[in-house]
Amino acid sequence: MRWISSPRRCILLLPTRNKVTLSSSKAAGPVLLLLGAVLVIGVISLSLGAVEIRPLEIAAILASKLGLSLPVSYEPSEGALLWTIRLPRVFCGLFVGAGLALSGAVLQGLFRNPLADPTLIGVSSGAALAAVSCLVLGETILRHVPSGLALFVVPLASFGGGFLLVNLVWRLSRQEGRTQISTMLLAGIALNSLCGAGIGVLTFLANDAQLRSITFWSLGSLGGTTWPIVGVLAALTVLPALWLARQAQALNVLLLGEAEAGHLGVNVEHLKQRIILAAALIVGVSVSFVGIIGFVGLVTPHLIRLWLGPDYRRLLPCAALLGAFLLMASDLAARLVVTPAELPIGVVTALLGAPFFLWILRRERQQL
Amino acid sequence: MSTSLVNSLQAVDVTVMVSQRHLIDAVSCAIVPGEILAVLGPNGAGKSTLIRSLSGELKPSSGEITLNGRSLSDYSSEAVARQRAVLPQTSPLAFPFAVQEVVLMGRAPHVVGVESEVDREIVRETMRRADVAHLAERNYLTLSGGEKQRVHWARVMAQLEGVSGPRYLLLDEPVSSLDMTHQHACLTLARELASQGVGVLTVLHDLNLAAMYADRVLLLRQGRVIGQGTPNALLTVDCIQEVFAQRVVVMPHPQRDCPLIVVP
Repeated sequence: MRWISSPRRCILLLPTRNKVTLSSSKAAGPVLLLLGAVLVIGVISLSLGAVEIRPLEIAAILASKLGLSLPVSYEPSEGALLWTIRLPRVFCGLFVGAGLALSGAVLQGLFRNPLADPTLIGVSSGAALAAVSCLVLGETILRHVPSGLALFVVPLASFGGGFLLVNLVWRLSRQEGRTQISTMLLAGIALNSLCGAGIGVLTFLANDAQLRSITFWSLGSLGGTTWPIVGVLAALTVLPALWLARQAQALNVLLLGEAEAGHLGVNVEHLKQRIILAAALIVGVSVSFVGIIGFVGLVTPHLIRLWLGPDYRRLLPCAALLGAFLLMASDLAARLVVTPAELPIGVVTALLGAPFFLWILRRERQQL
Repeated sequence: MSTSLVNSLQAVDVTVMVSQRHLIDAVSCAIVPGEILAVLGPNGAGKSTLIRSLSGELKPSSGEITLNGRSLSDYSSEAVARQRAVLPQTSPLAFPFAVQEVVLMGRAPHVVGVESEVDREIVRETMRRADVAHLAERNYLTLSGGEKQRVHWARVMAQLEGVSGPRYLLLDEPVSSLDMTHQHACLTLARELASQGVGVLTVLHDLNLAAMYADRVLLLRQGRVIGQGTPNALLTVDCIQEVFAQRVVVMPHPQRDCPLIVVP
């Protein structure tokens, strides 16, 4: 994980006055702090629920999977619950949260605007529309696909849908090489409602079982995660994430403007295409497994920028970790608030994220 | 003009057409290390188009841009960025970077991974020369237009530091948002860079600034070159009348060896 240790600021070596500056240890500090937070929320998530499993029991169960036996006794049913239900779900939250935060962070760089977000600009709903149509219209086709491959069909379709949408919004919102923020948000609204209409038509066509899936997609849930899903999520989130991490300085330079980035030797067209591809891949895959989860991609990079500044070399690793933390915490809340039932996680993130978004809007307006 | 000046950034018969209109038409010019070339002309004459062609941002419809005798398209964009910097008129940067972080971005073509102590030293030095050292930790977004401009000056100077071989700097209306003192400070800086062997091309609107600071001037009108030469030879009543359609009085500058242009 080279990219986690690399963020260092030149600031500490410059003649500093009395202002607060970030030293390299402080830059590594946030990463360690966030890693700790992710670990803690992970253990809490594994422990709490309809059946409580104490941390020591968790350790014993996990150790037994590695062939070690710890002197702690636990119920075999607890072991099964932890291994087949809670642990995959926790990992799912980790990858989805990190992925959404990363794609939000790089889309904000691409649009050179801190308000871009996978849900606001339509990536998520494009991906959801593709996933839902795949399910409702493509059921006959899916039946003939070997079950091993079926796991990939919906993710690929929703990646395609997300990719198409983000491309469209991006092209619509650009004028003479600049991104018009108002056009971007309006195009996002228009395309979101278009996708909403598409999903509406499909709802009309769907049978009862499909209807339940559609509801699931529009509000999001981490329930039903299995290990194969975690595997696909991990592969298709981590690879684009590693590529993005290597582009951190180019992403910084892109914020100066496309022409300026070109003058500084960045292959701008190439970079932009890859950003769109990576963001659509990450969001498409996560939407196909857990549905639309809003605001994580918007809020997380913002919080990190407020805390550590906009440098992508710090922003990417920290936003990924904070995104993972926020999503795992939201999922925990979604499970605990109405036990034994659970809230859709999209409801929880919207309840937390929407007021924050309004606060950002107010703040930005005061700055202008 | 020779097509293969080894040490120069050159436009050779460059034409840029956009939807049937010639933005610039068969323009040739050379930026030579150690010299300031000022591009003058009325609005819409093609000054920005020329600078955008020279920077590689616009592909010429015909003709060629050469860097040290080889076509610009033979170089990787990183290789070009190590010897040629461009100072923009404005930058759309909308994120709260500290000033020194913006200046450090100038080192991007030279740095792989994390910047070294040498890069930091360069950043400190160029911030001092551009008179923004005292702003090093300020949020870029809170600066005035003139301060932002000087931050970008520091950035492009940092880009051209630590380079062996010829270097070139393109300035697109560098003084338009500056007060009088900073206008002269800015062009003095350009002069200083030229004396260190940087070839500078600058778009200017103020003929007197061009007369005072440029070694050569290039007059553009409606995309065509009207003349190229020293300020003394070119900034005459007739030439200015032809290019700007404005009657002027030209007299010798009382203290410098350059013309002084006033409107009667």
